[in-house]
Amino acid sequence: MGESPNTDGSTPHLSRRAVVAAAGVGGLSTGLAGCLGLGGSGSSEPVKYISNNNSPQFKEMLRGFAEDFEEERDIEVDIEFTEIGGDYGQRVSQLIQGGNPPDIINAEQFRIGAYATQDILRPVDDVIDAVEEEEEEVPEKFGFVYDGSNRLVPAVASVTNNWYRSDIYDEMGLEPPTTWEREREAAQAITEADNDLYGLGYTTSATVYGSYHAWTRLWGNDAKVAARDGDTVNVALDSGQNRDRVREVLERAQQMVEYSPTATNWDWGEIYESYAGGTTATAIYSGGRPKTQSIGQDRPWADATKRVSNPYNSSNRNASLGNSAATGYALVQGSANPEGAKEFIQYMVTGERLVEYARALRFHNIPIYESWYEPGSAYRDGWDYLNDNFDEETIQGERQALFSDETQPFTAETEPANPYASPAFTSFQLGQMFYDVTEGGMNIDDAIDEAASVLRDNTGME
Amino acid sequence: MSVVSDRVTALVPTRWWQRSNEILSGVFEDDRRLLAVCLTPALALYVLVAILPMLWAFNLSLYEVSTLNPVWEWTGPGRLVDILTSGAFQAAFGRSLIFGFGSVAFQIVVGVSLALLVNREFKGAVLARAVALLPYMVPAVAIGMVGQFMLNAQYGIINLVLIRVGILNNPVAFLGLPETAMATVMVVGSWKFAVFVTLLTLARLQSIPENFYEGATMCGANAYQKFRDVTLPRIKNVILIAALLRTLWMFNKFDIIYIMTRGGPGEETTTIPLHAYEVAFNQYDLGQAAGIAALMFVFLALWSIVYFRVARPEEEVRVA
Repeated sequence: MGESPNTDGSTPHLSRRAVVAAAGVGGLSTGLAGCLGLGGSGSSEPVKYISNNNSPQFKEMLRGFAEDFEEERDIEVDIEFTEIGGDYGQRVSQLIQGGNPPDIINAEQFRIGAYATQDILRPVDDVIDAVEEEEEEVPEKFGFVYDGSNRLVPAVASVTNNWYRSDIYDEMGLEPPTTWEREREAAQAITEADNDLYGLGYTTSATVYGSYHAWTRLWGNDAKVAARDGDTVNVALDSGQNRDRVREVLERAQQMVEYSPTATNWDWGEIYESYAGGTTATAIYSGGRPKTQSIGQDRPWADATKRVSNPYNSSNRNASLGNSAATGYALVQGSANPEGAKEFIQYMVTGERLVEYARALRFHNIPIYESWYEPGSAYRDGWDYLNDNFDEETIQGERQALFSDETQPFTAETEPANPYASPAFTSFQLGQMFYDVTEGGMNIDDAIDEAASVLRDNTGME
Repeated sequence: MSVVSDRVTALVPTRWWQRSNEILSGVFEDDRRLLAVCLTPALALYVLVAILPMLWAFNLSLYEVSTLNPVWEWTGPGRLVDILTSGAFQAAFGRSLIFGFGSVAFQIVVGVSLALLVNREFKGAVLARAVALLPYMVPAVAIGMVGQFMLNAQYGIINLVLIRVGILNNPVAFLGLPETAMATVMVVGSWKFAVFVTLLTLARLQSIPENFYEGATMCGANAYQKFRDVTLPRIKNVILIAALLRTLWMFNKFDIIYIMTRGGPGEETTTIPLHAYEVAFNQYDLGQAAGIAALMFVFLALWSIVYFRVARPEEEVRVA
């Protein structure tokens, strides 16, 4: 594993040499440190972790973990905090290109394929084994296997929730938006009522949330983005019956935007703010932000915010109930202290640290162990925020959806997992396709062809 | 001071002192050596922070390089041709032209108008000039963020005011509609830089002798005729310089567009710099992104030639 071989046309530039040198120095340090009897990791280099949790609360918590870990294991941890999103990717790539890769990075299931396909991630099977020894079995659906090895140590997860205001729905005698039909009826009724509310925030944007929303909506009609043919992963958007299903979703998008504020440039922030701010009555989200923000902003509808899964086309009941996505840690090739990094990851995702970390996420991201959802578990016991703000139906509803076979990560469209789901997601082409047929004025078939073509050109899919 | 200076001088050996004097005299008397001494630090810095990264980027554009992998694979100059002929690049280039020229047109109109306004003598004119120049000190990031909040369809003050005064019935997502997004970004991104035009124009306006206007008045010229025949001929070259220079700077503008729209809705405001960013960090193709940047550099270099040939900025600052 690691750096690609020096095949024809491949030029090992300074940056690559630096990576190899760093790896060599790391190895040499490891050997020397072993001789000199240094800490458990066998390297005198600090573990370098680039964290995408940069709020003051998370900084304090993670620094606390690092200090305790250092005291306990005599391994120094150097944490650099960077904003989640584009800034994080830029920083990681800067370090990799500069020949100074970090030991640990944060990664989501949808993003990890981009790293894995570049052969820059170390296997983490031994870390997962160690975690399972200390905690319980890590469900397979939260991992990411590439080239026969696990590449992600999951910590928490999130599932597709369709949050809706039950106060409005009940008042207007509407059914919860579980299916396309119910969702449309409710959205129309709420938008047309004299209550300054839109039925939903139907996003058609070329953003991260736009990608998420588009992919989730496609799954609501059992339409797939990718299909595997042996070792090849193909773009499936424009193929056969799948194309018809994509077309149905896009036709529906053209209707649904009528019941939404203009959401052509919305990202995660806009979707939960529109819900918590009282502009929309329904919001599809990966995780709990629409509810947690409503709680945080002390909105009257915070308690009345209920969840159902991704609305599906009831004439196509094979449809998925949405995306389930783990987020966790990955180890980067060529870094200076991989053994220390493994120990630190294991330290972070076990015991009271994981409880503290999961609680800090305020039930937006949720645990990956089913037993944690039981009343009386270490996670729930004595946690007033959860007990005061979330009813049992919502907690167990999220649990069921997360562990159900009807929710999967976007990578699971193919077996083995689709490593190109990540560049497909971040290319924003799915959101762009939705935009093209709603605000962009493009014909649906042209939009499908355009999206499929761009995905073939840019993602590694055929 | 002189006592200290004398003591320090006394400590330095006389021969060394004489030798230093000879060397310095030699430098100051020889124009070429003086030029070399003065320019070398600046040139070294320029090479280090501008030329080398540029060469590095040009070199990078000839390789297939993933953002997430430090291995470079040779592709050659054919890659630049592929980029040049790709639909995405051409569309982004077109949007860059619209954004660049549109922004500059706005900046010239607003900047020159503001300069004419604050050039008048009135009570508080000095304060008015200082206030007019303030926006130039506000960082583009702050302007982008504030602009985004103010234009928000749900809680933005601009929609609120327009609805209150009856211009709009419903809020408009200025940054979310294909019809309004580009124009909105141009306006928000331009008002700060209009002040640059104001600065240049005002300096030129204040150098026009007052007796020119007095003469025109005696000849019976009205305000428009004075502007047309006295003011405009004297500021037109400054306007041309400002226009060409600002086009150069607006064409590669990234921050304000990225903050306000991230290139959306759809790709309506995805100009060349944003396209390069997307290719690098969303499609993980650093080599292609460098190729896009290299082509943008070529365009801007050509535009610079136009700037120096047409505007002849050296004549504007030449001391008689």
